[in-house]
Amino acid sequence: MATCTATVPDLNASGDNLYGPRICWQAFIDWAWDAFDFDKDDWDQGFGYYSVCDNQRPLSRTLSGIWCLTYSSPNFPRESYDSNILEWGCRFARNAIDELDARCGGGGAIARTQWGPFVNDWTQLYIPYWYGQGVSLRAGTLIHEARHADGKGHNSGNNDSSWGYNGAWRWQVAWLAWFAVDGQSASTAMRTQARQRANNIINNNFDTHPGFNV
Amino acid sequence: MADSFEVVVPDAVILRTPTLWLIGQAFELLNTEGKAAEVAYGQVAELLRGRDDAVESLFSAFRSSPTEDVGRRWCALYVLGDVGDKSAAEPLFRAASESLPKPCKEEEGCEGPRDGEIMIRTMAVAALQRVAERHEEAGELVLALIAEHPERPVLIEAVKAARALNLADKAREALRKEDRWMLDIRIQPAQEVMAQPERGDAAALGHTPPSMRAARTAPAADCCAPRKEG
Repeated sequence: MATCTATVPDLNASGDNLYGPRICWQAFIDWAWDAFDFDKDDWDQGFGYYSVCDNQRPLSRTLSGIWCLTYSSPNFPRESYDSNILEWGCRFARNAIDELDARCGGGGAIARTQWGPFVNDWTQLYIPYWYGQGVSLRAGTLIHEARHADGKGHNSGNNDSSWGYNGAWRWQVAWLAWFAVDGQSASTAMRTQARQRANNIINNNFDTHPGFNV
Repeated sequence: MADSFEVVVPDAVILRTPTLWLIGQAFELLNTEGKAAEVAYGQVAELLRGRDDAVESLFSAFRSSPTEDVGRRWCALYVLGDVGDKSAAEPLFRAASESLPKPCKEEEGCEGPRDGEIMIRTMAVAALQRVAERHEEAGELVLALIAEHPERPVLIEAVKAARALNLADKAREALRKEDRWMLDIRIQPAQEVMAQPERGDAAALGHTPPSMRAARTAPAADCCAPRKEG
């Protein structure tokens, strides 16, 4: 068991003052807790189980990412796979992620997912997930990890070889790009960060550059 | 056994000057939903443009924020792009050209500190471009950044900035031969950026989320106030 601390960054700049009040809604908390298979033992001991509406704690900040993933589509509550990833992203993520756990982490990692036969499947979130990126980027990370939980790893170290591989980086880019133009209830900062992060991934995480930016 | 965590709440920032107060307003409005906030942000940016100490105060906010507070550092650069005069160009150039942390090792996860720093560097490039749109001479620093051959995500943003500033020919001269393909990167509408879900609507729907609660006007109890963790 590890013990860790983190200093709360600017709550406006991270989007937690915008999304924090939105998640403080019991019907949403009940749903998200089951849909993403949170467990009390993974989220107490300071991670926020006992103060779920405290936007300075990891649980509230995770739920903000889930809220953003769930309600940003202009077509909500439709979640059809015939449409774009902004519409079906939450449906996919909640069904692919086996359980969502809070951990201290180390080395600056944001999140990790373990999957496969004969292992316990999990997705772990670490300190930089909550305190190093804004809400829209947290939603993008959930899509990325969900793609891994679905059984699709990277095929070139931490990179995807190409856009055509249709891996976690492509899915994250697609969600962020759609959020940037079509995301509902969002701020200028959340949209702009989403577009920039999408381009940064395109320009940094594909061995063969796809030839476009968004 | 799971980990344990303690949150550290920093002291409240005291906004000692009118300029710092305006910067605080800019950060808040940038992170507020809606057209009214966008308009108000534009007005605050205009007020900041009229203040002699705005650029220095914004850079001070950028530099004094903890490294981990990527959001605050990013917001400072964003506002600098809207407010900065030509004196902002050189420090933005330096912020964009700082070296990046190494990528995560495979076993450390896919995203890490490097990604936050790329957000900062690319925001610095975007801010430099916006300054150059108002002060032509700052365009030379976009070309100087290209000539420094920063890592790919920063270089591509600099090339895009040069293109937007009608400096593509000069950018071509500054680029290494093997990087000139970056001038041909097209901007694709997000609506054409698709992930293939590899499944149809027969796939599991799972727990469907609750409908959005109606917008409330009465104050919400028990919301977001820090409390002692049990």
